[in-house]
Amino acid sequence: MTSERRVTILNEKGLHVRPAAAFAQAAARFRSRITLVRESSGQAVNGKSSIELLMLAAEPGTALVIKADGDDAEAAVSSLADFVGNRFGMGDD
Amino acid sequence: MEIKKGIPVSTGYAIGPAFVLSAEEFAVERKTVAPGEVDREIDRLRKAKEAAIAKLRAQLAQMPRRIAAVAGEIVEAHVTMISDEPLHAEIEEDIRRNRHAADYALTRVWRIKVKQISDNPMFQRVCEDLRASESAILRELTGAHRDDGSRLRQKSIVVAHTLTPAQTAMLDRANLMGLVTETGGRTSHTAIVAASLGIPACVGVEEIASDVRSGDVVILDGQTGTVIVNPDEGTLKRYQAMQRNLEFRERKDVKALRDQPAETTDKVRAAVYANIETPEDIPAALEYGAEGIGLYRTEFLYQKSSPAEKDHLEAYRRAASLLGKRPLVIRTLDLGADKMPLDGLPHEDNPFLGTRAIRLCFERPDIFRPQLRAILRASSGGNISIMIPMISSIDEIKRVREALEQVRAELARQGESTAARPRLGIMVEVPSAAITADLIAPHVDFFSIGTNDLIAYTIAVDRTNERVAPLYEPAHPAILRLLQFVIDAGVRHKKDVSVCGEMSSDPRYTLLLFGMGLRIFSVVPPATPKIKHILRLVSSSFAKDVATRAIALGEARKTLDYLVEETRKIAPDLL
Repeated sequence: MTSERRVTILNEKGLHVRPAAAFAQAAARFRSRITLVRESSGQAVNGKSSIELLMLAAEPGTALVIKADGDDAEAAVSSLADFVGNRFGMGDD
Repeated sequence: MEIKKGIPVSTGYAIGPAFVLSAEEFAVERKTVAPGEVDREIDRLRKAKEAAIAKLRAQLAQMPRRIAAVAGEIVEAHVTMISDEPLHAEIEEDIRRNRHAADYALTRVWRIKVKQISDNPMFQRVCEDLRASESAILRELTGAHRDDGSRLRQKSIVVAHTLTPAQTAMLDRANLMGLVTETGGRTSHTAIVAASLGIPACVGVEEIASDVRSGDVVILDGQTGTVIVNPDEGTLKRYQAMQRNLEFRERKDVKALRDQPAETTDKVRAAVYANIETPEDIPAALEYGAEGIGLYRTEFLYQKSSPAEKDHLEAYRRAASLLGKRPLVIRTLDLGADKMPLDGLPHEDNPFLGTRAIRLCFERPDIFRPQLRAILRASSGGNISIMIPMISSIDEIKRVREALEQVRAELARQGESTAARPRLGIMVEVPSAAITADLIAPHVDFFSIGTNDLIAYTIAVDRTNERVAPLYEPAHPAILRLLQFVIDAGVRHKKDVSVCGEMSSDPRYTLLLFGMGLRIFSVVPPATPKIKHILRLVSSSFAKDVATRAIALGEARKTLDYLVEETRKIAPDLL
């Protein structure tokens, strides 16, 4: 089962260390394979690796696609997209 | 092949692998392991990862609560990065497939990632965090500290952007072939250390630390200041031949002069002693023909923490046993408060004029007394003298004598045997001591002129500051007057006078110093045969003539030119 959704980075400093770590931890709770794709370039990284997420160097306003592949794909994409929309659960720093 | 030019500060040739001492990152060399060791490397990596995380959490636990609240999230982010499973799978794959050692595989994979991000200015901070996480694991992998060159795996030429005195002290001398730095001038610390070790060095070589990788073959030409990276075969062969020639010539000189005194043609003798930093320097010094140790710098003992009396004693006894009846002059601690690994010392705006050397020792008997006790205890088994640095007045000498008497009485009460009365002398390096040498002479057994600091304090120049370094001139008439005054005061009061600064090791000044009446040279070991060579070629009246004329010229530049000219006439291949 696959699922995907488009999100935009809202954090003032972009997808930096703390959001990346938080996202990787959140993604690790799902069994599905999670991939983040940079819409403009097609660069795809493993959503469970905080370091790969950092490699996206996603500035504020960057459009990303969250993709999940696995039995909990739907739940994963929905939960992670909300997480990004909530600025990764953190006030900006 | 790449050819770079710098300033030659210590002569000779070195050809060998570079060891790049990096300021921020770990120097990790490409290294592979045997097939049977792959699992061990993977295990090492996992353990290092766990240890790094444990350490980060422990640091967090020790932080004050207010700071921990802020730092906690960042620490957790670092922990997440360090424990990044997909990344570690990639590193383990690299270890398995390419049989790379764990530290090399980690660095390789990790740096590819950092490189991809580093173009984006907004993510500079992220790159720093990533490097910090990498370093945290590397620190565990490579044994708790950054590779500081203290254990070089092979004979190497150390390449660095800058070498601090502390870094230089850590270097593995046994495997050190040469030094190359981007910063520094003719009188920098790198120059001093290289000269004292008798290895070639070159400073002011642009971008050498970033253009060379550890393991690259480097030719270091300390004659001309040329540094060649990854030379072609023809160049390599040419330099190897030049190196063999030079070594042969020098070996011949050393051998011929080792057991000869520094004696002029009319049989006037000077003593040539060596300056050392650890007892391990003694065998080489004797091999060069040194007749004793005129300056044992004890700061090496203070590298990590304050040494205990037994650490001092062990070192001094070892030095004494290597020297037998030959003299050993031990200089007490000569560090500034700013250089000491001590907590709670107040900050000083101007450490050069602050609590340095004996001033610090007076303030901290807990540092001074163990050293004095050890010197006295060791003095029963050798020809040991004590030398006090940074003396500026007679009062300080009296205080030192008092401290010595107290320590001696204490040792006597404890039934320790000490030598009757080791000779007590001072470093003459503060101008006030030089100018009053005639008044001080009755209170001491000997003077040793530390020209490096004497010149710095007299001309008011910090020679590590490249902008003013050219002002640092040993042949400055003010310096020559001070030297003459101190030498004369010693002669009149029948007290030994030596020069232990670099001026003493520089063959350009040998005729001048001897002609001024100096009879003890304390030099870097490799200079020993050079000093002997010059003095054995001239008469004492000739040296006196040269000195008189050199001083009469009255300008540093003219004096030095004249000295070079005279020295070239008698020993053309020495300069």
